[in-house]
Amino acid sequence: MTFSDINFLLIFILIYVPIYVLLPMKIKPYFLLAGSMAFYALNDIWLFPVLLINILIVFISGILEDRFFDKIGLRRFITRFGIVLQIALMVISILFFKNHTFIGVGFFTVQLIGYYLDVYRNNISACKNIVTFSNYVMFFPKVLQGPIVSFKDIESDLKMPDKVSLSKLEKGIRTFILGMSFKIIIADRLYYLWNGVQTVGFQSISTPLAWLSMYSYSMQLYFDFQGYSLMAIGVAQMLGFSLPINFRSPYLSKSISEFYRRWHMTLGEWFKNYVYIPMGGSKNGLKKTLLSLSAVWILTGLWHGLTLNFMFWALTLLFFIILEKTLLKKVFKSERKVVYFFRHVYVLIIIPFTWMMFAIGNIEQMGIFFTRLFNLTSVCTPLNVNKNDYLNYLSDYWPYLIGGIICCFPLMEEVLVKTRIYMTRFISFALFWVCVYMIMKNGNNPFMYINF
Amino acid sequence: MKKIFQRAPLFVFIYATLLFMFFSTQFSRTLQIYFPYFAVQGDTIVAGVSSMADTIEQTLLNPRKASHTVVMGNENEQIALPDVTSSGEVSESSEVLSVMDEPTPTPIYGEPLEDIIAASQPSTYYVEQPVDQSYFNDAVFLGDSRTVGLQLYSGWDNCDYLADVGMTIYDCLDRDISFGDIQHTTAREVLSSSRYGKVYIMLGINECGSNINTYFEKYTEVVDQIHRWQPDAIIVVQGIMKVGAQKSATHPSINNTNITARNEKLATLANDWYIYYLDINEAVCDENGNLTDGYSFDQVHLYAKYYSLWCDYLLEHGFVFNGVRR
Repeated sequence: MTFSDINFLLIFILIYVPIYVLLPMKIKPYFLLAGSMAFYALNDIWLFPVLLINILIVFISGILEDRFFDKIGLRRFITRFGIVLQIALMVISILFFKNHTFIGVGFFTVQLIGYYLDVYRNNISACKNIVTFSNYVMFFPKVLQGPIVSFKDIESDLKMPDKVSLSKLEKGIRTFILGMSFKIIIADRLYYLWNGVQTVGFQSISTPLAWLSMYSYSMQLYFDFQGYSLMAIGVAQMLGFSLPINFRSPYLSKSISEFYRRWHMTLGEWFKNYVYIPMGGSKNGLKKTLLSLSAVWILTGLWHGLTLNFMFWALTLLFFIILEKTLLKKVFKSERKVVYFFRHVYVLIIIPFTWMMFAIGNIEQMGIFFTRLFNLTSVCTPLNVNKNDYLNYLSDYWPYLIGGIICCFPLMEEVLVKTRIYMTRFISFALFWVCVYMIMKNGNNPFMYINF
Repeated sequence: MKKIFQRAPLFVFIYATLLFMFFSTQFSRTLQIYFPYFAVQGDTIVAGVSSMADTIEQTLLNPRKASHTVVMGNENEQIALPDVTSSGEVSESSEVLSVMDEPTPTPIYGEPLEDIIAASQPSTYYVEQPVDQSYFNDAVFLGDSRTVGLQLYSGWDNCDYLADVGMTIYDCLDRDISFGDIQHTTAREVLSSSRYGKVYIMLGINECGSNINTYFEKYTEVVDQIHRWQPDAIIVVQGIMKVGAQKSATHPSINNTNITARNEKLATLANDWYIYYLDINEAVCDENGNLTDGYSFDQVHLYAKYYSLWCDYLLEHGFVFNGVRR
């Protein structure tokens, strides 16, 4: 049973949430901690002690910093040591323990570094309660794919969880169902399109299929990630916590920089607070701005993975963001409708291109894919192409593709989470049952039920 | 308070739904683990009913056969060519065959296939030699997703394909498939109503988890059935294409040891008369007997560009009527 298995998540919630809700306030933090620990321990028992020791180290360093608040040298040493330790742990676990990585080690590291820096800068006072602190670090709804929360934002919730009210519980369930639908109904279906294209091999796909698969992958990535984030927010809501939202209909953005203010917002926020602003930000002249931007994007590339394609991806984005801040600045100031239209088109072309760099780990394969996108037969000869392959894929996947396009607009979030009419309940039920049906029919784990 | 009562049914319902879901998913999983013959794949129940029936039949109804199998022990000979064929019968039937100069196999209704195989051991009607694409004008390919791949990427549109993703030897004749412009049909309908010169089969990767003897018996049955429908056609049994080294090392059933064992059995079906065996692994495997690294994304299906290897192998190994019985 793997951690990312949605069945597991559902069972966990099914047993856990009702008990949690019924427990008295005083016991809740301990029960939450037990739940989070169980989540990690079930995932990988061997790394669990390392995790606990790591949390203890961070906790003690925080207290030490508070205790010796006037000894700047010592505090600086502790902070630097702590950050280096966290990064080292992340890199080691990614490079050497491929089968035993913490789930969501990147998210974990980023939050602890944020904590170190916050304490060092006196933005917060260090947490004095080990249970509260462990709950912050290990809070199980968010371990998998965020959202990334700073200690400051969740501290009050942790110390004094909101009283669980039925309306909040219902909202949590609705948010969870929406996230699950995004993941199960759209992302997990579109996964097969991209998988199919990879199985065929990029050298043998037709140009229309290359474009189709590029857009399909872009949607798959969004709904997978957004789905997980919404599920995390929903579960947290059921438990009486409020987590920040992670996406705000990013594909409706009008520039690349705007896109990344609306895509994985909590990571962007983190980089803004702990890298961009400390390095000068946008208030100290263009040179500083560009320098801090470069630092942010190189680090973002490294954070996503230590392979070349992520660096490629990040640098391309950096290029376009710099372009927007310099050459395109004047154009972007215009408020004419035509300009808006072309800005949308620009985002919807550039972003999927960059996702292809993100998705294809092998640089040579990436090159082949791009030759197929533009049908550059002279650069790379296509082999055994089936001219009508895109029609086959369209006939198989059109419902999910259309559903995906509709859900790129904030419609579903508006209907299901924000409004409270009876229709929304009905839709929630319907979606829930569709998800149940799909899980039963196809299985959640793509490798478990696949047919040849 | 009123509000709480208003909403209570909602949560009872959601909770009940979650409970239902939990038990149903768990239940289906448990079923799959402990009762593999109920393994549910998609909408159809595969690898199941027949294997159970066969096992029961073998152990309960026909104890002699079952004990025979156990005593033989040797993996390669678990279904040995049976002792029912006496030497007299063999010589008699081969005499009959030797006077024929056309390969019109006698109808074999009711006769065990083994008799035919045994009877026809020393004869050769077709010789293996390179052919061109027109050779496949009267051919049909029966198979799973790999044959679907062949259909899509071989570029051969002069032959027919009865192929579907997830097809197994157990359901290949009755599975709902599309065929040319026909949306819904079955291989049974097509094979029993049209005439083919060659029937190529590759099935077995999906049912790697099922019992090897049941698999082989079912395969024999299907080949036998096809021969009754297509008495003039040659049936080419293609060995199951192997999987990549990594998949082979990690998957409990879809691994090359298992595939090789099955292929060795399939090879025994060849009778040098109307059943021939081909192993395309010669064309796509490395020296360790694994699907060559880099030929496949998922270690199971060839990249589209490497379907040519399969095609070329089939072209190299055509079966051309010889007419002379040696």
